Amino acid sequence: MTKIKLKITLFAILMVFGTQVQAEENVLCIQKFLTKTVFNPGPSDGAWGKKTETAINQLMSQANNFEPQNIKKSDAENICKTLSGNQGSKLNEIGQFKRFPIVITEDIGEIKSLTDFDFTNITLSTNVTYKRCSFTIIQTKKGFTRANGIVGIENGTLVFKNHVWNAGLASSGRDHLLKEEANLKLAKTGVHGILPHLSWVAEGEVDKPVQYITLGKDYIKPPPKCYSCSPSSLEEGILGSNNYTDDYGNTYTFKISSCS
Amino acid sequence: MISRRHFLSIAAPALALSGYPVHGFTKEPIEGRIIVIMLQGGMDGLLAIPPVGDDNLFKQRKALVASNPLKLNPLFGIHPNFRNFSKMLKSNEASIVHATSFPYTGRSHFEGQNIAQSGSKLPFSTNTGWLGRAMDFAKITGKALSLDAPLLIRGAPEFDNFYPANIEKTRSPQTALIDLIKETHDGDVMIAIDKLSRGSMSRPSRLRARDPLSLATKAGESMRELNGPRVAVLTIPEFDDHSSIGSTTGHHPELFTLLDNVFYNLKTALKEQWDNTIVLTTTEFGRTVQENGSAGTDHGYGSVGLLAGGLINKSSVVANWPGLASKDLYEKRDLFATIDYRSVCSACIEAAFGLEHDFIIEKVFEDKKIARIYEHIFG
Repeated sequence: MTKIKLKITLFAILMVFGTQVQAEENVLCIQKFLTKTVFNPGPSDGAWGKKTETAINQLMSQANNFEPQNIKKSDAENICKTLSGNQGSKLNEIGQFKRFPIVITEDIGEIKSLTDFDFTNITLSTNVTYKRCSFTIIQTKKGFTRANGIVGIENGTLVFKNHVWNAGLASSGRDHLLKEEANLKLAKTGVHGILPHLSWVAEGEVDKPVQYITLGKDYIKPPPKCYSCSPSSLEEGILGSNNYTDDYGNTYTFKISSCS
Repeated sequence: MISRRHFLSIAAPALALSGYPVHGFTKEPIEGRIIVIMLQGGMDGLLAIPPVGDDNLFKQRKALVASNPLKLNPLFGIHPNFRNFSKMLKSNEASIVHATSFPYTGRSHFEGQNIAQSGSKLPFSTNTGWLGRAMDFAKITGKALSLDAPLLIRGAPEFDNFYPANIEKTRSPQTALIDLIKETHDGDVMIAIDKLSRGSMSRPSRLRARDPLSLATKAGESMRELNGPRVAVLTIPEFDDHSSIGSTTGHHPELFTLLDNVFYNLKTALKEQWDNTIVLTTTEFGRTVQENGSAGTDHGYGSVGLLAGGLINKSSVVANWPGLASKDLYEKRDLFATIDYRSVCSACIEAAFGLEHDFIIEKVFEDKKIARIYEHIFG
């Protein structure tokens, strides 16, 4: 009877020990796999520690498009089988580089391109017609002319004639701006800016790509028919605000003058 | 809609378009588009995508961090001038690869640009480009538009080069000459030339660069056509800011705005073809982690790659972040590149042309050690 008890006890001990050995082997299997990736499991000692748990959870999360994982020591056997099976090579490939998910909480809102100029919020009179007016779109703060040329006014809408568009970016600051290369600035540290691109556009055509100007249908009120007026009075050709501030904080002014 | 003939007549030398498709054999008949934006001069990846979660960033470069970066995740932020690109990140149409570079540490523009285009480990070891070779293997015939066909797409079959008649709006030869002069100098002399060159370019001249915004729209309009080109190459020069690089505002941030709007214009012009497109940036090297005495940064090693397009399913920042402590830097000065950017190029070829990774690295790059990063970007 005593012998039987002893055998049962020994069997139980072996079972427990065997299970433990098996468990350690499963953990070791995971650790060895992870050491060949960028997910560091710590020392490959068969012990399930915080580093091993974090590393395998990160790998499996990355493999599942950042779905949170909750892999515990009790899952080691199944995970080891997965890593040793068909999916092993793919998981190894995924484990060669870390992916950090994008978590943007800030509302970025609608954004317009630098080629968009939105002057829709201006109310102006209609029913006027001029064949030729000069127009200028100026980046107000920097004095950078984005566009100028000739525009016709037909029943309160604009018809662009010959005009020139200045593509590119204006520099910031109060430095002197060069007339013909207005997106360059002179500063103490040198001349800054990128090479501009002037695009001359013929009558009846628009720039390609379009420098989008959005205008209300009642946009234009004609300026006084006056060739000797000062620039300030000519600027009164547009009623109300004629400014537009883009998404980057640049303010543009649309001016029409010298109509005939 | 713009016709191909019309497009060829008006587009500009800083843009190269190619890849009018014919029957080819790939693992799948993928009609994807690849657009490469070459950021010439060496973009400062730490200014574009600052690792705001790395405390050493602020220890190493005190003045060269934008004051209000948009936070992407606990480790990375993005310069506030990338507003459109940020939106693409938010809508899972863009991704970032950080601490990356082509396999080149020599810090020479000419060698670096050559390697970025050839995909070789040694500069000037081949006269074709990785993209051109990929087009060849994918059986995409080439039609390119360029004053000087970029090496990047040389190697494409039936490659055709268009020389525009209107040279007035081409890149200034003066600029190219100054680049050459700068290349032969370093240190304070190079900084001085950098300042002087900007002054010399300020003189009125009728030689102008076509702006990348226009070119992006033209490229997108042409590529969205059913039988339009499947490859385009755009160039944004002037990233070589040895002095006054800027932080929240300044020269590099202005170029970020420009690049951001190039992404926007491409997406807008491509319309539904955006879903079949991958846009990727390349640059010959990154810039030093610490600023120099002229509030600029010098030639470095690791930088960042920006990718956008409908072929991306899930946005992320891919990086084996090496750290910015002095001991972690390459030669104690540069961000270490832990990802070979050719892996990114291979992934884009795989996604857009359907070629197998093993085939790409063996035939296109002739380097079987290039790791596959497809799943990280497109998976």
